[in-house]
Amino acid sequence: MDRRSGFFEFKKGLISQNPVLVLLLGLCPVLAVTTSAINALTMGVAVIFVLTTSALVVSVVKRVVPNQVRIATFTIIIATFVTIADLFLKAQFPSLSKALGPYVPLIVVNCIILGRCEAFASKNSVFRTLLDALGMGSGFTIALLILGSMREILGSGKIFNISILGNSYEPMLIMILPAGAFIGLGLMVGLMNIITNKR
Amino acid sequence: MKVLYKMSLTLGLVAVFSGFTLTYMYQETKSKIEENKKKEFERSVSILVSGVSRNSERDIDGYSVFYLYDDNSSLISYAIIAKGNGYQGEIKVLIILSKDLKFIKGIEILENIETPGLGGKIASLDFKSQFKNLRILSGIDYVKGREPSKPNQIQAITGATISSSSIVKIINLALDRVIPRIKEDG
Repeated sequence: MDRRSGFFEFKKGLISQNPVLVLLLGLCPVLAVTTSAINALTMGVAVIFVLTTSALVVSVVKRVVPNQVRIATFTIIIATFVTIADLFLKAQFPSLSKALGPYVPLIVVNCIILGRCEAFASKNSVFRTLLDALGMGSGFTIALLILGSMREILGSGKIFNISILGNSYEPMLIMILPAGAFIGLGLMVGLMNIITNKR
Repeated sequence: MKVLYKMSLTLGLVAVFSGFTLTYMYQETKSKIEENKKKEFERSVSILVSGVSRNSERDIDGYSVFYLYDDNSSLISYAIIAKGNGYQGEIKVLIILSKDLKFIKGIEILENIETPGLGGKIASLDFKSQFKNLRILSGIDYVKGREPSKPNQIQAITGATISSSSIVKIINLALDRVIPRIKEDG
């Protein structure tokens, strides 16, 4: 394990172990908030923040936490950082916080975060944990951003609220609806499989 | 026994630490969040009524009712903040009433967690503008799938009837409670 380079720990989250497209974790926010690119990006950044900070804390305290209560401890740590992120968004970016609604507080139950804390941060050094968390977070954000952009472009003809397809474009309403999220995600996972199978 | 102590101690420490962090964060952001809410309220009011320079808040039956005054301190309209259940959670609506209490001047959705893309459309301009100058005839009403035929009707959003009817219910309940009291007080 330790022979793997630090760069590998970062890179694996982007493609080969992408949390959304390969591990298929945390799909609830992926499907729910990707109605627009800006929502997807905000959600991604919030997850990077929560994932990195909680994984770091977990990695630091991993030796002193008794095995029996580790999940409970991790959950409290994660919930703390999620609440911080939620309060910060509410104070500084009220309109984005309004658009994301309950999905920021719901990062607490996002299985990517508990999963990385349990599977990686509690067994690896602080430095490796940092790289792993940043990689996984970025992989999550990239997947969300692609799906969010695709849905916003097809569903409302805009990207980051800037109209690009012109007025003559008839928006495909289904892409904004939940069904559009499933279709988009399915296509992306399929594409990912084609790419990884070719290697 | 030793493990038990260690477990309790760890969880206790983590919880205390978490509590302190969150208290600090809450204190830091509280004023900013309240300021944002106030700004949002004033912005929403200014979209629906122009020329408001001052408001005074009153509590009627648990509703926050604002009397809106213009530059000359004459009353121009009323604003009510009403809350109620939607399809997925609480919806908070700002209702602006005309001075004679016979019309709704307009509404604004302050908070909602309805399904994005479906019920979430209650916050869209298309839906909200239906409430502009809506008559209050023993409350307001909604119709499904056709153009409204009466002056107190709005058209529900296709695929989000519960969200639409919830708004109507929330508004009717608020009007029922608040209007008689405003009239009583002159």
